Amino acid sequence: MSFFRSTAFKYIPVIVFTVILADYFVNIAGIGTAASTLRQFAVVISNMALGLGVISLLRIHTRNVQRKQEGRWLYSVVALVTFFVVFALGIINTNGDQYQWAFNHVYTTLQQTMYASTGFFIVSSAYRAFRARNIDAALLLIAGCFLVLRNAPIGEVIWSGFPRIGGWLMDIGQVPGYRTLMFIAGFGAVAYAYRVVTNKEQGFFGGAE
Amino acid sequence: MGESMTIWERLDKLDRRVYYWLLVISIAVPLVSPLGLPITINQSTRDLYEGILEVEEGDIVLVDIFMSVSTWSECMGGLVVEVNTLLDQGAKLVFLGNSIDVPRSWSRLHELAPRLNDLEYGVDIVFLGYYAGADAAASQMAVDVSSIFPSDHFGTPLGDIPLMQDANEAGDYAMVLFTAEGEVKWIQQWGEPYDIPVAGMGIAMKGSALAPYLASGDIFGLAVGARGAAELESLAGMPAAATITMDAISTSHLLFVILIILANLPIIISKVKGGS
Repeated sequence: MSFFRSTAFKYIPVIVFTVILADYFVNIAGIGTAASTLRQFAVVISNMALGLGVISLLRIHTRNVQRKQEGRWLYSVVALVTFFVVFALGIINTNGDQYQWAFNHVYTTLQQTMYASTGFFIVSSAYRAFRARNIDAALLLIAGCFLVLRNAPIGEVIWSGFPRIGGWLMDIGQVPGYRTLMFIAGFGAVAYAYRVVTNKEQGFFGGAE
Repeated sequence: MGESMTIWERLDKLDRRVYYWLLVISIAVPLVSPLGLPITINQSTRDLYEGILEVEEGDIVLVDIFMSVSTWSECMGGLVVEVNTLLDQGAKLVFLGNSIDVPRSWSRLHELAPRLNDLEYGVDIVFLGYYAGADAAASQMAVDVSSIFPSDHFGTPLGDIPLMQDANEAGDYAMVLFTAEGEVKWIQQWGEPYDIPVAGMGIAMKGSALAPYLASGDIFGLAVGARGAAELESLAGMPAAATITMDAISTSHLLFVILIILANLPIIISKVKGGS
């Protein structure tokens, strides 16, 4: 294990970085094949992450049930029962009526209910929380109102300026700010890649910096 | 002043269920009795629609249904218009999705665009199904789709699907359309390196995040939220669910703004009168 941690793991990111970067800039068959294989590894690892998520979910909810954690364990029972029922139905036949019924009539409606319920929280917070207590909050609220009335056709009916000002805020006002954030994130990614390649960043395989 | 403040205090202590009911009423009334407010078309939506109209017969278009069932209300209407318009143009369509809900969205799309059932599967349309891996998967699909999807959603090997013989790498596609989210991987992995036109629809809250890509020309068009879907329906002359919901969106959004103004009136009055 110490060999992997001390030596092999250090060079894996360097090799991956070099191959993927080289594949982008040069057209050499061998590098292309190696990069293709690495990308397929990444997809396989992403799929494995789904399995890891299932294990994590089972561990957390089983622990809640075992410890009868107050206010949680009953929900955990529901989560576990739901998981095993849907999992069993899926294993038997993903195109079967029962599995499709669970997906169409339980999952779909729950998802849509969850998304729709945010509307209620927003309308409640519109009166209770969205207060312009300082100039920054006031600017944010005013801009938000213009954007809301730009998005709703009634805004234009009330005043033709709403879509114009809202459109300016969306297309011109906020774009430089968002682009700046994207540039910062991009530079951050380059800096992170440099730290990985030079072995200054080892947190992702369990090592301290 | 004292009396008016009492009103604000009363409003402040109002049961939140009153606001919930106001929202329900503001949505329900226009659904029962439509107001018929006009919908103007944003330029980005027009660009998206006109870009789709430039697709020629036989062109292959990749449609990424990165849409959970919760976002159907915002994006499904627009997707239906996109698909119908592409089929009118004679395009061949390859569907896939980075959301686990993609099989359900595929079924729903068939219900809303029944002409999909009349097409020859494997020749005119293919449904590859769900994929994990985001950018890595999109990057790999650009050189070899079959390495990410050895078979389609129904288990048919890609080698046995005629359409996929001509649609195995980015260069084979005329366009990529994203739905709801997941646009960046197509811009970065297909649009920039292979010059494949990318466009699509975002949920309303993605509008600000997608605006920089629109401004830079990385995406040639964009429809945002239910409003964008309604604009697409209007452009295509196919009024459907998104158009119907626009009045409800108008009234509920107006309620939202009125509540914000009411909530801030005491603060504004206090500031005007020189209070802290």
